[in-house]
Amino acid sequence: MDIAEIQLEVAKYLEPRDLYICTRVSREFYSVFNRELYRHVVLRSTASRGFPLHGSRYQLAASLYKHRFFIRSLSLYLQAVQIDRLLYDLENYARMFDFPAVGYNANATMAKVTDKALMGCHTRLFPNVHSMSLYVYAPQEPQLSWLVHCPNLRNLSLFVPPEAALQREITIPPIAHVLTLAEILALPLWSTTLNYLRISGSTMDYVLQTEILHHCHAGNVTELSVCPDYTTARIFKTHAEFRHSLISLNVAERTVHSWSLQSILRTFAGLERLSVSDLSVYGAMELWTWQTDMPPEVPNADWACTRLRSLHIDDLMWSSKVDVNTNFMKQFARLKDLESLEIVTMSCDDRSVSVLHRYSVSTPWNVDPCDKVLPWMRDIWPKLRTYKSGGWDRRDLALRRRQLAKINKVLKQNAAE
Amino acid sequence: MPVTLTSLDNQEFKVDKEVAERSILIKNMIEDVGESDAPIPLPNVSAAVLTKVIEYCEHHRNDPVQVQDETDDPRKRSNDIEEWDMKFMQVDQEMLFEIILAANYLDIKPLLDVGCKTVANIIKGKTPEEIRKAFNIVNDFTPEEEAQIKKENEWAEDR
Repeated sequence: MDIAEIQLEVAKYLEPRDLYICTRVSREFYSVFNRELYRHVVLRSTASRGFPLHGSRYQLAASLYKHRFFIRSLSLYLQAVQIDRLLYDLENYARMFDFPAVGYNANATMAKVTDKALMGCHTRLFPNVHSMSLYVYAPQEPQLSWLVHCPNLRNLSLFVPPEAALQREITIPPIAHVLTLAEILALPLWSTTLNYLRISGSTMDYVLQTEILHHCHAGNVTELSVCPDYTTARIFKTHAEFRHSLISLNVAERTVHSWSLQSILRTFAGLERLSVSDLSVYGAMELWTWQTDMPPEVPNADWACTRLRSLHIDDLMWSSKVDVNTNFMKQFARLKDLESLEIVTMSCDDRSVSVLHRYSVSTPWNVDPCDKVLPWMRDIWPKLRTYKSGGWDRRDLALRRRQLAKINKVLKQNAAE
Repeated sequence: MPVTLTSLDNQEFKVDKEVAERSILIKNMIEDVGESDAPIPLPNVSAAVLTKVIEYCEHHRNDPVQVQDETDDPRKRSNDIEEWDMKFMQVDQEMLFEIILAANYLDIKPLLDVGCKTVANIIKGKTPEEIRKAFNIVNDFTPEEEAQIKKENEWAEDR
């Protein structure tokens, strides 16, 4: 250990302000404490959800790159003018960057900075990007042309807010090198590297969604996160090619009424992981006929998706009718490959409370007492290794946690045997 | 059973095995060699420094083994030094750095920590000039470099 190494150890006890002061002491101090200063910021920022940069903070981001920090996850929320400046700085530093994850907020004014010089910057910055989130107002507009600079993109999230369709003042000037949607969809990334796509918002039209999803299917996209609407549901219903290619599906942001669990599980035969935010048992089994633009499901039809290994439900809403719940459970028990089940919360309306309490005695939904639950679960899902549930009653969380720990211990032992 | 340690300047120190084994380096050496009366040479530590290190180990002979605390934010606290340790570290700067180096060489993590905390506490709240004075450091920046660093890192001033 030399003096520099002692300084580095000491630096771990200093806060940014003191680290900053130390960088100004001498060249030797600078080389040690400057690195620790940025390491500290990176660690702090990656530990939290993103790191909002505003005002002059773009300097910080630029400095991070300048000092060649290996950033695994950093979200930048920048105004267009800051992006402009940041990219200008990056270009000046002319370093190789390792920047595998970028949360990118490209707003409408973003297009104004996409001149040729900045596009040059992008070509330097983005070859290493593996993951990107784009918040776009109009997906068919130039923002998506950035993708051309991401040949190694594997994870893409498109956030399309509802205003997109209503936006009347699109004043983006025509730029010669901007790609058309067709050209964007023809990019090699769709068929080579991209394996995760998130489509958020419900305003993308049928043609656009179908085109994107077709490209996903033609390529390697096996994980999809969607906020389903009638359009998405219709695409999946009418395009059989999606049924076998998808391995992981996240149905986010919406109660699964219009796009029922039953339909999902019947549609995607190859699905191994499913996550839904809100699931209504009533909706899943009965509301299907409400959708006039879709064919009704066959009552009590079998779920095709028996390869499902992981199921996560944020909120499970039970029906007030015993036969509906029973039918749901019968189907649910067909998922013989289920290894992980997580239900964050469960809910019901007032009418169904007594029914549910009566019903839950013979189901795992009530983990109390666990000695009754375990044999039931092991019988239904022989491969189950993990079970998590917030359950009904949040009053005694400590007891619930203990019971869950006990259940999971036995499940793991069981699976190991 | 006592263990004999030999310092850089060939002075011998007889200490309890339990005390000597606060040093992971010595503990490993004893394990490797097995039961032996041969003195353990410590060619990187002078007698004066070894005396201080042994004093520390004697005082902390019954402390539990330190567990590495790996958290998301590894920023460590420097205001949790025990009173005895604080007094123990009231030495001149040269000795302070020698103790830190010896703690690192002998692999005595708690002593290394307390040494680094002491140095950090000397730095905290000072201006660059006061730090230079405290550690006898010459400012080798050009005015332009100083201005550049100030500009580059001024975001940290309010953090």
